[in-house]
Amino acid sequence: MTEQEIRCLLKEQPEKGERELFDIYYHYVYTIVYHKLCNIGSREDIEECVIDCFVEVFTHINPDYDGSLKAYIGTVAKHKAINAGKQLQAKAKRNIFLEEEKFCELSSDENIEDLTEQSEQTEILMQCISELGEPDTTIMIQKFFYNHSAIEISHIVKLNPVAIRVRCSRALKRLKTMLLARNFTF
Amino acid sequence: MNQKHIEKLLHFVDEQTLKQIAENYEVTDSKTKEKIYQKICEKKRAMHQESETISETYHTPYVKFVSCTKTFGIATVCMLITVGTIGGIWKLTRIGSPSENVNSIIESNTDTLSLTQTETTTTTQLEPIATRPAYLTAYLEICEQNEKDFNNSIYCLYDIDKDGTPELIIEAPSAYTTSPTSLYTYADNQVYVLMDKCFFDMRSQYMIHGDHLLGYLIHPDNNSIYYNIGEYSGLIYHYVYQTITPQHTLEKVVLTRVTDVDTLFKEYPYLKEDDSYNYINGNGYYINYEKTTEEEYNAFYSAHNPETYSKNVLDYKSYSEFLESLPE
Repeated sequence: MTEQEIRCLLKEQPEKGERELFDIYYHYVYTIVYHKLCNIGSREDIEECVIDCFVEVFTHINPDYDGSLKAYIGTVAKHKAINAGKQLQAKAKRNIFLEEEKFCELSSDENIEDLTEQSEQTEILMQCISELGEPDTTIMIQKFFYNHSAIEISHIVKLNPVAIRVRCSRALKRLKTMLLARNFTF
Repeated sequence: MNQKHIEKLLHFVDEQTLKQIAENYEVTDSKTKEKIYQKICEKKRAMHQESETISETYHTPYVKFVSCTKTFGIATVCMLITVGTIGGIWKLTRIGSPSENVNSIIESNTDTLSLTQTETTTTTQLEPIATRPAYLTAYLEICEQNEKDFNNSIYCLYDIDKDGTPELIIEAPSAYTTSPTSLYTYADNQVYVLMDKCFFDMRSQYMIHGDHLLGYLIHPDNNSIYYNIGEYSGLIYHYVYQTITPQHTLEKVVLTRVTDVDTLFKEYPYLKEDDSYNYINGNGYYINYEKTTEEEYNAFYSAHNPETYSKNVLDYKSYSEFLESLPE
């Protein structure tokens, strides 16, 4: 369904339109939120944020607006996730006040050189993962990006969890060979 | 090859790769997806019911009128009953008292007691009946203190987040073209400070004199505060949207447009050294100080169209007018 068709459906049958919108963009929103919150929040926090994103979109969406729905939904997801992350960090007391004496001792542990190298490595890794072919590519993404267990992956790719584990270990070996061939350093 | 290493690298993907993963891979199974959808519907229904209840109470003039008349009628009856009861109890305790109305003069030629006609008017001091809601009592303490610290402030009550309890907005007098604003909300039997004497709560409290400044605008139907503000003759322009969260904080989205960064840094070279502006990475669009595409920027802007916000919902009053307007 195109965005224009979704907009028409939202005008004529709002509930159906919202369901369609949800079905199309659910994975998109979840991924964006997951990426921001995976190191800070629990699975429940991520789901709560996804719910808030869609409630916000359904409340504010204007079917007459002819701009990109995907862009709008992506933006809402990103910023809801950032705000949720800040709230979670505040709760976990991971913030330090400017006035505190310790503040001056804090320094960034970012190393620009390392970051650039990491970024290049990520690009090579993603290329190699996509060359593994299905269902191994999906299994690798589900396992190492989404941190899903074999049982959870089995619900998605419709394979037995034991088969998932076997495929995962074989795919890792192939991945290592491919990365070494591209002079990938660990 | 370490699996942790792969995880770490995959969490480091750029925006483009993230979108690719988001578009091509399922993130949960269908059962979880359905569960989430049901929760979305429940939350939306709950919000809709809440806003309908508030609409019925506040937004329909006829219902408002009927509701006010009903409330006034009930309050009057209650007061009359209470006054009558107190008066009756007082009378019972005062029977036989010499200070009752005495209206007889007895004159006698011999050893008489003369009683002079006295008209005594007794006044009954009644304790004011507490009808003031708790939030108002709490807000009044803040107003009183504010008035001591900043004479000539102006005050307003308005339900920004549409939860049935108005927020308190105070603007203190200022030499700038706008005033520092304080915003308070009341929940869980306490006041939460959302803004404390903020000049539009930007990155810095110090505004550039001469910039074009507008006041806060409130959305009449949604939980949203909006303002826009230009810096450096509009070379940087911000549209700021804030909502009051259920945790009683302000959640902010700042849309920024930078139009001529070369002129900006040429005219104001010290900005290059200022950390507040280190988010600027060329002309373009930013959301919460991160560069974004024009498409994303326009999408958000249109969904929160500033024209839907109203300038006229806030009815500011001086301190004395504010006190007079409140129920006793």
